[in-house]
Amino acid sequence: MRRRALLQAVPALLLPRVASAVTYDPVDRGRAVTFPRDHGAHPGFRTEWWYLTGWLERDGAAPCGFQVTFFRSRTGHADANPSRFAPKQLLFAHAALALPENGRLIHEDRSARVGPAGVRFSETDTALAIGDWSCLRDAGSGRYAARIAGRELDLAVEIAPPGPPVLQGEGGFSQKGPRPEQASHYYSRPQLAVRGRIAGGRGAARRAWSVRGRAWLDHEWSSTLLDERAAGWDWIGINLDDGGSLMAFRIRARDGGVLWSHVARRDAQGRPRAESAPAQWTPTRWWTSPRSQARYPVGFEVTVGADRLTLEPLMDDQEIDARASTGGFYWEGAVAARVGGQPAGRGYLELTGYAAPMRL
Amino acid sequence: MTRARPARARFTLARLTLARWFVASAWRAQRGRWLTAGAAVAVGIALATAIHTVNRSALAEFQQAIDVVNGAASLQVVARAGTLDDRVFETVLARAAAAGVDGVSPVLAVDTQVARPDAPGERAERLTVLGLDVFRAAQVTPALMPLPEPGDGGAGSSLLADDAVFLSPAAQAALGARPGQTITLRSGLTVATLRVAGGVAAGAGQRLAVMDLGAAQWRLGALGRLTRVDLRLAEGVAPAQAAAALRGDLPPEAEVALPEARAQRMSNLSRAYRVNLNVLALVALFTGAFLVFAAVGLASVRQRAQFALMAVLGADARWTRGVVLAQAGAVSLAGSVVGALAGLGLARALLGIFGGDLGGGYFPGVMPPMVVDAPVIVALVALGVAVGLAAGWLPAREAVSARPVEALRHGSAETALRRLAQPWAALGLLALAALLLALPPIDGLPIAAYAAIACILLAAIAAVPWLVATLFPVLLARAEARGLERPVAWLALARVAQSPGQAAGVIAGVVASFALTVAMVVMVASFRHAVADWLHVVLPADLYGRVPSNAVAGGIPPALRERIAALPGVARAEFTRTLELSLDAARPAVGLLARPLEANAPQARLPLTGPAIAPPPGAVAVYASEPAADLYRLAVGAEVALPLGSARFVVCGIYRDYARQHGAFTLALADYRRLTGDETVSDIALWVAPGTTPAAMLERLRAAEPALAGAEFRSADALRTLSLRIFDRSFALTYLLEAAALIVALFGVASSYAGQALARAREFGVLRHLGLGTRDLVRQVALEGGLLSAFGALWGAATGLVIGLVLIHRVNPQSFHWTMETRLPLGLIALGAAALALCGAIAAALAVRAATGAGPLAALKEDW
Repeated sequence: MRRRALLQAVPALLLPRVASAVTYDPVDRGRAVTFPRDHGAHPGFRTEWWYLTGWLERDGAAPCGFQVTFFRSRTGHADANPSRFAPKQLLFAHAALALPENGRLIHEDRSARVGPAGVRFSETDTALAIGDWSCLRDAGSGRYAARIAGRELDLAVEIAPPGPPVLQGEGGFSQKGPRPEQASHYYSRPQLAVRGRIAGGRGAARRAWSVRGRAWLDHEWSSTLLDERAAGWDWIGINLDDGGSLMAFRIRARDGGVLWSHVARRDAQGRPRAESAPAQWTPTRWWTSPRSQARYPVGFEVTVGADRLTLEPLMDDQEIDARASTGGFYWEGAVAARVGGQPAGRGYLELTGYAAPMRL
Repeated sequence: MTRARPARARFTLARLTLARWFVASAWRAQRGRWLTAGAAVAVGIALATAIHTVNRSALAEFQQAIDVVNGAASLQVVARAGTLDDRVFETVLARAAAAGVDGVSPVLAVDTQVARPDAPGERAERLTVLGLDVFRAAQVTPALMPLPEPGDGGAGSSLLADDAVFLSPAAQAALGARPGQTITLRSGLTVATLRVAGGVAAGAGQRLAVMDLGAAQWRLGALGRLTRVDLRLAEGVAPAQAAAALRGDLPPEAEVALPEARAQRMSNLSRAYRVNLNVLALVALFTGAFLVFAAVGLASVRQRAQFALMAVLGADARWTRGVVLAQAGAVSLAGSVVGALAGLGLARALLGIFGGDLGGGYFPGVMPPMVVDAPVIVALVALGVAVGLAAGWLPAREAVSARPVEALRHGSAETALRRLAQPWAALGLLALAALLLALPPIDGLPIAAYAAIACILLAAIAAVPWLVATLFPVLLARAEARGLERPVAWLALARVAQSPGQAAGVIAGVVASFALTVAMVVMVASFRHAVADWLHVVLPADLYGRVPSNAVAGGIPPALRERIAALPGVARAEFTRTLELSLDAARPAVGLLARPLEANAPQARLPLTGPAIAPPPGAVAVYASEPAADLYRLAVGAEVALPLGSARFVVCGIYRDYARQHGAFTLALADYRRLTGDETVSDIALWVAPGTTPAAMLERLRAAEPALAGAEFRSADALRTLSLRIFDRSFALTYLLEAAALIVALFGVASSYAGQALARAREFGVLRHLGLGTRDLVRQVALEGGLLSAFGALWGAATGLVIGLVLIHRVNPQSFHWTMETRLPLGLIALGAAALALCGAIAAALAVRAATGAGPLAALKEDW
């Protein structure tokens, strides 16, 4: 998924890496994540995202995957600029539908500076909008509403969280590399109940369905870049059928080793399960993209403690071409998890750094 | 292998061969004359070609520059006046989907001056900076996207920086600024130092800068402002349809501009000036036509005996006519082709020296590559040939109609031209001219007036034989009555009086070219005088300053204004805000001047052409310049919709303005401020207290207000001088044309006499037999030439005065929309006429001396 891609690609594309007048808020181990404040944006930090992924059941069609993401990025543009067009903060939105009958993703994105033309975020609650693309949390009910109106895809869903947010890492402080500053503030909302409508395709080929399903929301913010030795990463977020959740990621080094690895498993009540050892990631199947010629490990065996999860994608081609926006190719798609041959959960897998050596 | 050709083909071949001999012999007999005729045609075609090519190149380049700056957006929302509130972006965005617009890109375009710390005395380079939202411009005007330098802190890091600017290659070259360096831009009093961070995708040849919109609003002092919103239409949506859908929701200060209107406005900019120059070029061609007529006429007279012989031997009229026309066609074709080539050369030279300007000042700073418009040049050559053939038509008819036997006996040059010695043609043409003068302009151009000028000119020339036939016998009789004793003078007068037809051939060129010269001299003198008078009225102060203002920045804020007015040595200070308004998307913008005006006495500040009225209650008084009143059909008392707030504007007076050809409106500064809230001004006028000089005043001002470093100051005297210099320069090409026409005309006189020396060999032989020496002959011919040239000059001057009046009272108001009073520089005209008569005499004398080498007996014996 592009969340980590953004840590890398956005700075490379749009942010000054030379000395800038702007100082970003540091990720602080001691900072407590509190709600509802932390549903909102943290514009003092360099990068932030709200990342919604999930599986949807369609009437009269096979299940499909969807993804709606809002990224916020603080540029190096001087704070002193009073212009309402000053690009101090940018919002990117990205949406994708993984319809298995389509064979590949339908995806669209938008990029805009915050301020004019209804491009906004809130610092007090989740309230993100780029024109008519939005993701809003209702403070009263705690439900989210996401709306994406694109040329090729249309999505309007309501999302009900079953319980409070799950803080990742140490109380929301999530280490991303060997150095202490390589970290983020991070919480997840697994097992979200989704209802709504989706439509995909262009013109006469457009089809629409009413949908319901389960989704996962990540909200993460940080100011630090990845370790310069990093080549890419693999990430999963799985809604387990038993009501629990599994989040795991590993940051791969350029030399083929693993720079950082983390796994977090929760039971249906959201209680963390202590893991004795980091997860083991073993590719089981590779797929080569006809677009980028990149070879992605679309099948994985992930060993978490005593459990061996086998991950199989909804479809092989869930590659995203983001060369025009945040840069490069990556793979991000719906996967189903099995344990011992039995369905165990559904979620999303992200694979980056396979298409090209990542630029830092 | 020879096969017997059919008899008919052999006959045709023989006819052609004979025709070729005739043409060749005519050429050998009077090369000078043919060369002059060809040269005259060539001059006309050359000038027309050069003017067209230069202008075409400039337009192409300027058009390209405009297209580049506009990023080829399919539709734009633009400001009628100055800038737009940047919330218009959201207004357009809200309406976009319904209007079929699928890309909306807000743009702030600021005309800046580049400060050159290394060369402070140098004239500042201008640079248009476009502030863009890259996320939106990428969809709408991808050609305008900045290209970050790879080395500049990582790919793309500077796209959104608050201090980065991207320069097109041409701008980088012109400013000597490479990526990594900084440049300092001035807009109004705002100074911005920016880092050059890369290039721009489009417009390799255009000077253009691009930066982030937010950064531009801040750094260039235009917070909250946009100059336009570029739009991309969804597939299949017609621009007019989208424009109509958008228009309703726009604030009154915004309008929707279609790309065609942009092109139209461009072309309208210099149209009248261009047409004027082209008409002058055609006049040169016209002069050429008379010379062709004279040459062909004389040649056919010379060849009359041969033609008669051919006729007796069985040549038909078609053949004879064909030969005469072939002579005319050949000389005009040669002249046209040479002229076209010379014109292209001239165009290249002009482009190199003046740029695409043509001296008119319409395309400043454009150094365009030459664009050759082949179809038009071919058409011009065809026109040259057509004019030549038309000139040969009368002699051809004459050659055919002569009865062979009579013609065999005495070839008289007069026969061909005798029928010209009637005043009817001239009178008819004059009547036609009078009719044409009553017509209004056609499509904004004084076509009818030009046609009237052509008629007047034709009439003047057509009247020459009749005038000579009427005038010179009278002169001769008078001279005889007074006891003219010198035989040479008597001979000269008698000779001219007896051959009025030939006289027309000799001086047609002189009359035509001097008439036009005088016309232009009268017009330019009147114009210049009017401009000088006007400058005195509009420049009453001692010192004038202007900050590099633009649509965005008027420049001088109130506080600075007060400090300037309070400076010691300043007796009085006045401030003006100038900006541009768009009243019609297809016309060039009009100027708006907000300046202190006394409501009761606007004439104190404005050179009004008539009485002023007081504005009706509730209305705001504006004063329209003559061009504005003419272009937008406004009379005193008319309402005019100016895009400044919601006020009602009434034209309370019309004033003379030679500075803004596309119109201007003036209103009181107080009204302007009340309506717009714009407190800034762009122009300063200072009256210096007694005991201080403007130069000392300026020094003090500069020392006290470093913020005015970017302002240009000039004393009123310097401004007047500069204005008149620009005025003179804009007529440079006109002078060139006149000089060319006059020189050709003098060549015409010389070659006529060279030709006559041959034709009159028998006459000269008789005279010498009677005892006249060669010197006497030369003197006689010189006197003839002088007399005829003097007559031509006087007649030309008279004609020129009439044409000058047409230029002043018809052509100028119709094409440039300004009026002036007539001034007659009689001394200058008299001097020119005298010089022309003298030159004519000298030319005739030289030509005859060169041509009369043979002795008297040989000349007598030579018979046809």
